[in-house]
Amino acid sequence: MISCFQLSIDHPRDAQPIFENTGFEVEPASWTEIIGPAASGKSLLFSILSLTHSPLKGKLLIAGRNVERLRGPAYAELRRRIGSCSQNPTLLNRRTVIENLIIPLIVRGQEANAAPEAEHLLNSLNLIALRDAPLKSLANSQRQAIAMLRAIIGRPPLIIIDDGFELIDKKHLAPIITLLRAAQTNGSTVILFARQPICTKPHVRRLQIQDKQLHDVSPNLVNAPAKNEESSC
Amino acid sequence: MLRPPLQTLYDRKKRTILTATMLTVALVIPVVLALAATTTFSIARQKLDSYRPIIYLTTDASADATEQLRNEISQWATVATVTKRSSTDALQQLEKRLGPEHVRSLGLTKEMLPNSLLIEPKIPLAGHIQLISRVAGLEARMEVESVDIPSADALKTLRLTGMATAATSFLLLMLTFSALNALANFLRTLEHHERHELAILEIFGADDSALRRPTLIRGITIGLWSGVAATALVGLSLAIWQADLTLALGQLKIFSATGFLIVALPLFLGPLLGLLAGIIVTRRKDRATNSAILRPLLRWRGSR
Repeated sequence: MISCFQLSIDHPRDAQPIFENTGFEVEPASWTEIIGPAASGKSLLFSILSLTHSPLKGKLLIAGRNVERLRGPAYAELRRRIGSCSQNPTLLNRRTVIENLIIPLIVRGQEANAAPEAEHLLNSLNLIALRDAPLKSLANSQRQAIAMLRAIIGRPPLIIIDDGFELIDKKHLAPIITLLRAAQTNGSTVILFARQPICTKPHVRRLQIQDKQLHDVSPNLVNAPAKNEESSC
Repeated sequence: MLRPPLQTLYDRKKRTILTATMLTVALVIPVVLALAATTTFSIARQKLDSYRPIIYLTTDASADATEQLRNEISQWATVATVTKRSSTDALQQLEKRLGPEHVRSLGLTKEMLPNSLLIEPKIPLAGHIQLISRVAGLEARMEVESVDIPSADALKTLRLTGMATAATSFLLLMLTFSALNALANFLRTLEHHERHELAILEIFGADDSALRRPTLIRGITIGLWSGVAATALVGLSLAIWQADLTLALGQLKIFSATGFLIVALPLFLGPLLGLLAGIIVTRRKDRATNSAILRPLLRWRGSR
């Protein structure tokens, strides 16, 4: 699903290299976690993979498309195949919860089943009562959960979530992980950025950010403790 | 977009009406000026077109000198025919126009009337303008008593019409620029208000045309409303004051084909201006650069 070669990324402010000549591959329909401490470059890598930032150097292929060579509509077309949620997601505070949720489906031209799909996701988190509530009336943890559901809705081929798991209530986190697992089983590729591992099951591939490189530290290689043991991944 | 593009206009009724009114005024004023210019031009042209220059000869001008002058004028490129009118013909024409009794009561005889040459120009308007100076110059000749040159007012009016057209064009440009600026600012405000929604749409793959469409639709819609209002306003005014205008301007066809075209022009110009304002607001400046793909998104993110 993703192939990355000789990737170099500078910090946007001080121009110090965050990644130097690193590379990795993500298989289709896989579950990948990219782990690293704060300010290690997770969000920058997330913005590059979610096509909101361009890398300084290197080759990046997403779904077989060379990102460097993409132009205008092709770029938008590739973005439609990605469901992303950043650490500080942009949400429409004056719009209702369901309006916020259905945006990706509207962009993808799937308005017909947008409302039932969104309601199904809200049901999964027991948030259906907030369906028509304005988003500004929600707590931060609920807003973060809505942003993650927005990335999952429609089960896009690639789902990328940048951290923020610790902000979510435990009662919401488990269903979100379940939904992500269901999406993966259905063929979506899931990439999660986090400070701590989310899931310790053998099917998880884990990449650790260290010394400006990405190292494979998958559970079958290292027995890292899982932070969210209750998650059903 | 989550909501129809025109919903935003409805939510901001006052500003929408204000902008549409400004655009309507910007469309009405040039239309009225254009109508006035074409009407004035038409009046001046009518006066010049109906003119036939006359050269009055002195009573002692010989037949040879008269014939020589007639031949000379006939060879001018702008002259179609030159007809000699004798004093007898002049008296007969006078009697025909005023009646023999009236002419006799005035004590006019054929000896009192001059021989004259009637000129029929070849080209109605341009011929006249060129002819005027040449005919006026004939007054210096011994055998010519006086010449009847066309109304200087008509010529002045024509020149003034030209100047008025230039001034109108300038005013039109200024008004159009102001209205375009006001409309573009309004559209930019609306777009700025929706920047978060646009940014989200872009993150999830909305293409450039989808992001630009709402602004373009709003621009065209406001332009169309203004165009319809301007056309209705001018058309109704003309219909109401048609009788007064005909009385003031004579037998002039205000509702000619040109008049209709000018009055209907805002219907086309309004949406065009709206589209232009939309394009100005949504254009991407650095399309050619490598980072242009991310430009709109970064722009939205920068404005948060």
